[in-house]
Amino acid sequence: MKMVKIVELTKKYGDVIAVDNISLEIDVGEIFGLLGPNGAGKSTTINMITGLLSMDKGSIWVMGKDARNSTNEIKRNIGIVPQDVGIYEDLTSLENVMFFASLYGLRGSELKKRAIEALEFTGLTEHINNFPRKFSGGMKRRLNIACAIAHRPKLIIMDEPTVGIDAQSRKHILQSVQMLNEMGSTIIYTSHYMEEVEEICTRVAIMDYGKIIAEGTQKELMSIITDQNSVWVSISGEADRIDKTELMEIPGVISVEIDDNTVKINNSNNINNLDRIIHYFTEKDIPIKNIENKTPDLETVFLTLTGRKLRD
Amino acid sequence: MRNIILLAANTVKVTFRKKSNYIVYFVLPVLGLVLSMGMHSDIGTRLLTIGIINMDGGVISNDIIDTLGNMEDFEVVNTESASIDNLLLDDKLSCAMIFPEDYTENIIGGNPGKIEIVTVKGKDTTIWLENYIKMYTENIYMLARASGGQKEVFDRLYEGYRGQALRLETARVDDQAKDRSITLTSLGFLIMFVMIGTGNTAEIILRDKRNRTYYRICSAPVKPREYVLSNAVTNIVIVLVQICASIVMMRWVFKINTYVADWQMVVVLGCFGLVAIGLGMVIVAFARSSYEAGAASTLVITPTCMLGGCFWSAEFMPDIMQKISYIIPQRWALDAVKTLQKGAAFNDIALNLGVLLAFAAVFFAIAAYRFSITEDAGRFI
Repeated sequence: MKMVKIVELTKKYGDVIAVDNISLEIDVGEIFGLLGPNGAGKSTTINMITGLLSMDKGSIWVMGKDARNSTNEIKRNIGIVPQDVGIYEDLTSLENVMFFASLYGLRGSELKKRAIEALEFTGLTEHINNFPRKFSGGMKRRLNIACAIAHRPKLIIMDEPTVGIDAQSRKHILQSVQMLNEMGSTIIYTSHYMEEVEEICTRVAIMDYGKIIAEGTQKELMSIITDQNSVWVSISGEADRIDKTELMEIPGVISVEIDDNTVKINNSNNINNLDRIIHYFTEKDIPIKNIENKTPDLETVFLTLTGRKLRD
Repeated sequence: MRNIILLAANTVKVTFRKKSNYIVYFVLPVLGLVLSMGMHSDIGTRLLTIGIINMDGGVISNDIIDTLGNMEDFEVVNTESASIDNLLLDDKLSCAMIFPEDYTENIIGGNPGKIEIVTVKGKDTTIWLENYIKMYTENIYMLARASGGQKEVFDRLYEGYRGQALRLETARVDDQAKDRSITLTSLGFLIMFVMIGTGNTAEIILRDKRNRTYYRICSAPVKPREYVLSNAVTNIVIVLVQICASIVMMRWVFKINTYVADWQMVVVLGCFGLVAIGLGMVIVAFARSSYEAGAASTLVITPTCMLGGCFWSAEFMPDIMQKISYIIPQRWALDAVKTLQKGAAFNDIALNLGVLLAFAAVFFAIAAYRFSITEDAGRFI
């Protein structure tokens, strides 16, 4: 039995197709990454899985149950960490977790015990009786997670849980996701940070304009672009003097991306053009600080498949 | 049901964590009572102030005016016909007596004219006065008939009648109309604050949507309609507490006799509370933000309270406005209280209660329909 099975799912908002005939299967015990830029259809897909949005076409099965008919049964086994923090600022951390967990049927001493466990798990034990209005963004996000896991759901859906937080909190959250998975929960993790997805996900689906444009393990996705390599040229300023079109004219160059003072050039493996690339910079009298030959990552996969960056 | 109780309890908890909400829900209605008391600051004097317009100027009309002026419980004030309405509206006069031209002459001629008594506080204020005038006029009329229309004979008889010095058993006349007026004005303010309070509670729905807690609640095994229903339950509880607290304040702190049994008052205001909750729900169902809902509430509450007679008696308004006021629920609630104050049986306000419940049913139906077509939580994602 699959944890989630999506068949030909479509959702429209007026004339805009938010999710366009997608099919997907997620196994029990996976950390499944849903990668895509903002507006790709990730959140819409998640909201249909959790029964918060109606489907226009297709079907969703969660733990073998039809999402159209068994909404509450499915919801009882899902914990959702929404993209925006959904907590009461006027309730303490413990009260927040206890309230949301109570909606899943927990009560009495068991409710309190589970709430305290969830807060311990997210590193908020010391702030159990504090009000979230005094919390940092990272702490609020951790409380957001605690509210979703106290009822020990079989499926945890995390919708961009690390947006706008510091590196330490991000690290804590990613570690928490892996621990929750080890404790037996299946995780669906959406992000437009490919580093996060690369770090924790066992399988990934890349979405763009409502469609799934690639799906598989990271290795499988990388294999899409095995005929490519990536050269990163670090320069000391003057990036505005670089003309992407001129670089693209070099034989073998597939795409060029300028990220601050790093020029990321995707090349065909079949053509050795490194000397010509270096020549381009020296001819323009742009000092090179460093040259790296990078293994392609999910960002490169996305760039290759869509011609756009994930965070465009 | 468990979900509704959990959600309602949480809403109450979150609402009253903010100290300012105690002010909105409980202090403001009491301030409304204090304000309405201030508007009737002469409460302690309990005098019936009678405005006099004497177009006759004859001996009989002057005698009546003098007699009333000498009584302990009346104050007589000469006034102009043009200013009567304003003086009555401003509560400067309890009533006005207008003696027609040639009143004295006509009564002697055996054809007594009618003294017009004008009030805005109902018949209770003037009933004693009317009876007194009726008795006095009948006596004089008898003298006129006995004199056969001869003025000299009448003058002699009348002089003797005056000499007997009208025996009056005087007793303290409490101005119940004034108490009732205070009660109604206080209730008018209370009704307004109930509407503000119910609007605030309904707006919690929008706040939860904005804060994404609604999203989280709906991702749990909770139906959106259970959430909306829990808000209504919270609202009902708060309104009932608000009403009971205000009645206690009126009765035991400000010592205002409402002349209505407390349970009847709770039923009337409770029915109105349902209307206010329904209206709040309608506003929230259509509003896209708390700002929109707040603006809509202000646009609805203040004018309807004015039109419905919360700040002054609806009877002061022009006929057309009075007719329009019957489509305002406040009017039906205040009319119900007025009817009960006059000693009517509770059954007599069945129509008022029916109309209020019908208003509530219509508002809830509109809100339920609107919520049902926007139930898809995705509208707020």
